Amino acid sequence: MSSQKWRLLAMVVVSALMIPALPPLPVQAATTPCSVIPTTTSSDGTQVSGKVRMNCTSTNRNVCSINVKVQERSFGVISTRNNVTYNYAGCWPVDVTSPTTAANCAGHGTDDWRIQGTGTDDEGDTRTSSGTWKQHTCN
Amino acid sequence: MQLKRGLIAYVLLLIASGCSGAAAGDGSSSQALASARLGDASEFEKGALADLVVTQAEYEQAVFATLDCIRERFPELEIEGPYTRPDGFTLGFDFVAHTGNDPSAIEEFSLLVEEADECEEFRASIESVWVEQHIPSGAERQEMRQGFVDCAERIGLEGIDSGMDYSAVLDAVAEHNNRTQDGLAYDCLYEFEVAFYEPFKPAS
Repeated sequence: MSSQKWRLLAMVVVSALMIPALPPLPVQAATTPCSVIPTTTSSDGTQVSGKVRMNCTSTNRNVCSINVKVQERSFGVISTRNNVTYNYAGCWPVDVTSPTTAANCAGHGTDDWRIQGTGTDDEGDTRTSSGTWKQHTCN
Repeated sequence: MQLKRGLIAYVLLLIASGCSGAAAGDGSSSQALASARLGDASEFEKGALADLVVTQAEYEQAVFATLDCIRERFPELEIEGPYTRPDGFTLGFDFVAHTGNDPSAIEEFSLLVEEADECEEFRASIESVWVEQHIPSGAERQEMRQGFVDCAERIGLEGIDSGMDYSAVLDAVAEHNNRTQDGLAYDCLYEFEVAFYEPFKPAS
């Protein structure tokens, strides 16, 4: 190898050493690694409904139960209009979506609604997640 | 650490929303909703809703104010987040606990979470209007719905058409995913679901 090539190689090595190392990303302990994803609410004018997905894929865990709450916010007050827990015998599924859970409209007019989901896995970790607030009109 | 996570969520939201807070539709339904919400909004919410448009910065402030409120009033609750939800334009956060599979412990945790709902006075109406601003209309809405149909066909999710309502779409996606366990149907849904949301229709 010519001396020019050695010089070039030396410059590359020195340049690489001069690049500051990126700090390591923080490692977060995955205490409750399964995700809980409530869907956005939908409505037919008489009921507001939604589902909750719990996903334990790649966690070596399984879903034991999913609780679904249908919540309405009216004049600043949040009311739980339906509250159902679905238990999965033997904690078998890895990625499961609850059945549709619906709440009857309590009055007329447009309020904000959301689905709140709580899932528990087979190692006893529980996670609660809320879906987006979304307006719905009850006829 | 929380600041760092907030910063990451902020950057993700910027990328996902194309660095703007612009409304996806013509803005009429979201402005009508904002106007309707002003009547019973909290003082904090009124600040964001007064001009009938929620900016990205106002939405983020609402989420962070909600989190601050929860941390201050319910320090015993462990929070994860904020993070960008699968829809790509809203921020979520979770409450987590090790409850065991003891129904009474889960119930106790749920009651505490329910108490924390009082902090939604900083977010609820603002988020509702923010979501409304992202509902597409006209050709864009139709294009997105067709995008979902195409995506569904690619993964073998059958019986989908662009005229279906959100509830029917969700049923099909959930049923497919419960069977396949591969998450692909949800990937399609999360990308296009906002096109299936029904926009606000003010009472005439």
